[in-house]
Amino acid sequence: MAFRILNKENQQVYLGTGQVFGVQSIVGQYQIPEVPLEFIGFKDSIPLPRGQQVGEISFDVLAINTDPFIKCIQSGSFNGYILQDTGNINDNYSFTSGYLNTYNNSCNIGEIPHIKATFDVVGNLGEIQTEDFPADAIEELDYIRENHKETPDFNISAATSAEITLDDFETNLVSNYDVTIELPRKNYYSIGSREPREVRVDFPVIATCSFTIEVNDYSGNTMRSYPCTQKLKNIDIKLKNYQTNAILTQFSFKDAVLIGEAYAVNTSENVKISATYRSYISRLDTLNNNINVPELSTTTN
Amino acid sequence: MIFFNNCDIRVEGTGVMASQVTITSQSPVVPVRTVGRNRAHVAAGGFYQNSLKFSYFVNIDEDPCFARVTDLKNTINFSGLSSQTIECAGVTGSYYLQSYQISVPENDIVQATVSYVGYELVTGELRDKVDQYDYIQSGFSGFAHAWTAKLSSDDGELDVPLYDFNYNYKAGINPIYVIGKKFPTQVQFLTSEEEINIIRDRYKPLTFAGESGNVIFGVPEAGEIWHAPDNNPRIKLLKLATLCDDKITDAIEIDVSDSTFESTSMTINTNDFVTINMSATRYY
Repeated sequence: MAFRILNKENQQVYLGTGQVFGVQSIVGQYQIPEVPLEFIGFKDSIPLPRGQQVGEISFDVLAINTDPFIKCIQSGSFNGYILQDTGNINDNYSFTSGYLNTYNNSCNIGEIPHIKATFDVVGNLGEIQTEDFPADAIEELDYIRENHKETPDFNISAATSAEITLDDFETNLVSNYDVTIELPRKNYYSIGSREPREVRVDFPVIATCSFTIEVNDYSGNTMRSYPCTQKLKNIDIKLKNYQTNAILTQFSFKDAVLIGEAYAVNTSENVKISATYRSYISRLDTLNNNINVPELSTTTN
Repeated sequence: MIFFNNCDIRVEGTGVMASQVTITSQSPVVPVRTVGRNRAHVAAGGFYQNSLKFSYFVNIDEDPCFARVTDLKNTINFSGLSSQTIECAGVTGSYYLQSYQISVPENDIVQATVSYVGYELVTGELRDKVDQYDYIQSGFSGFAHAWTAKLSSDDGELDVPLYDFNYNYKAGINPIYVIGKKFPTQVQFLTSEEEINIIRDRYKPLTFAGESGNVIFGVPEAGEIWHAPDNNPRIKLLKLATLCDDKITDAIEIDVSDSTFESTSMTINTNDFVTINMSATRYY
C-alpha cells in the first residue's frame, strides 16, 4: 500500500490573494508556550501555558517575478496559504495575522537572487479549519477559489543582470550583496485574550546592506574614525530581467552609514573587503506597496 | 535537609500551590543599661509576632485565602476575629489575614500573594509531610489564567481592553494586650479596604472626589463624554478549562460596586504606549 505523499507539485503558495512564485522552501513552525509548573509540596509538575502563543513562517524564494514580500515591509499583517488545490481550501497549511519580521534579498555571482522573508504569526498557524479562519482570510480564500492558478511571467533576474551603483567603487568588482530589513515588533496583549490587541513596529527598523568587493578603488575607513568621521553612502541595487534588462526590483539607500568592514586576503583569492552599511528607519511610509522613506526606497514591478 | 516537594502549606487543611513562603518570628527586646555596669540587661520591648507571607497559583476550585477575604468582607463580628491555622513544613501557627493580592500578568497563570500575622507561638518542627494532598483534582484546568480572565457585567462581556489587573485587599486588625499576659486576649477586626488597579490605554481624568469606581471600566463616547458601564461591572477569573469548554463558568469574581475612583496616573516610556493606571477603592 502506498501512502499519499504531498510533494511540491500540490503546494500552491499565496500571500493574501497574490500567488507567490519561485518558492524554494517554506518552514512554518510553532512551539506551545508550555512550562512545567512546580510548587511547594508537589513532586511532579503540571504543564501549563505561560507566555505568548506565537509561530513563525519563513519563505525562501527565487526572484523570478515581482518581489512578493516588499509589500509586507509595513506595519500591517498578512495571511498566507499553502493549498493543495485552490478549489478546496480545506486542504491547507495557512497562517493568519503574520507580521513581517525579517526581509532579506541577496545574490552571489552565478546565482539567481534569493529573497527570504520571515513572518511572526500571532493569529493561527497550521491546517486551519474553514470555520476558524478570520473574516479577511475567508474573503481572500474566496478570491483565490474564484481565480484559479496563475502562470508566472518568469521575469527572472540573475547576478549577471544586477546593477549596483555606489559612490566610489566599480560595480563589476562586487561579488555579492545582501540587503536585510529587520522589523522588530512588540505585541500588546489585553487580559482575556491569546491574540495581541495590537502589534506595533518597535522602531527603528534596521536596514542593512552588505557587499563583498574585490579591492581596487574602494576606499574603506578606519575603526577609530567612528564616531567623528562617519562614512555615508548612497547605494542603488537594481535587479533586472536577465533577458530584457527591465528593472524588477530596486533598493535605493540614501546616506547609509558604514558600520563594519572585514578585510580578507588568502593565497588563493584576491583581496576582498566586506562592507556593511546600515540605515535606521523611523517610519514606514509606503507608495504603491513599496517602502518610500528618506533612508530607503524600493521599487518592484 | 527537607526539600520543597517533601513539605507543603495548608491553610485550614487546604493545600495551596505556593511558589514561595516566608515565616518570620520576632520577639523584640530593649537593652537596659545602667551606670556602673559594662554589660546591658535586656527586657521585653514589644510583643511576640509572626509574619507569614506566601505566593501561590490560584486554583479556582479551592482558594482558602480568597474564601477568607470573602468572609471578612461579609463579617459582622468585629470584636473577636478568629484565626486561621496554617501549617508550613510541619510548623503550625494561628494567623490573621493582613493582605491578599491577586495579579493577572499577560499570557500567564494568575498568582496571589498573601500576608498573615500571628501573635501566638508557632508549634511543631520542620518535617516532611505525613500524607499526600491532592492538589490537582482536575488537571491543569482549574488554574486561573490571563487567557480566561474577562471583564463582564450583568449584560455580558465588556469589550474594554485591560493590559494589567491587580486586586489588593487589606485588613486592619488590632491585637488587644492586657497587663500580665504575653499574648493578646483577643484580636479585633477594625477596618478593611480593597483596591482594584488596572492599566488602560484611555485617559479618564479625575473630576471630583467620590466618583463611582465603575468609571475605570468606562469608554469615551462622542463629545468626550466618558461612559461608565452600569449593571455591576466586574472581573471574572475563569478556569483555564473554559478555553476548551465554554460551559464551565466557575470563577472568582471581583467587582467594583460601591468603590470610588480614587487615582489615575499616566506614564510614558520609550517604545511603549501611553499607559494609564486607574484605581478604585472600596472602604469597609
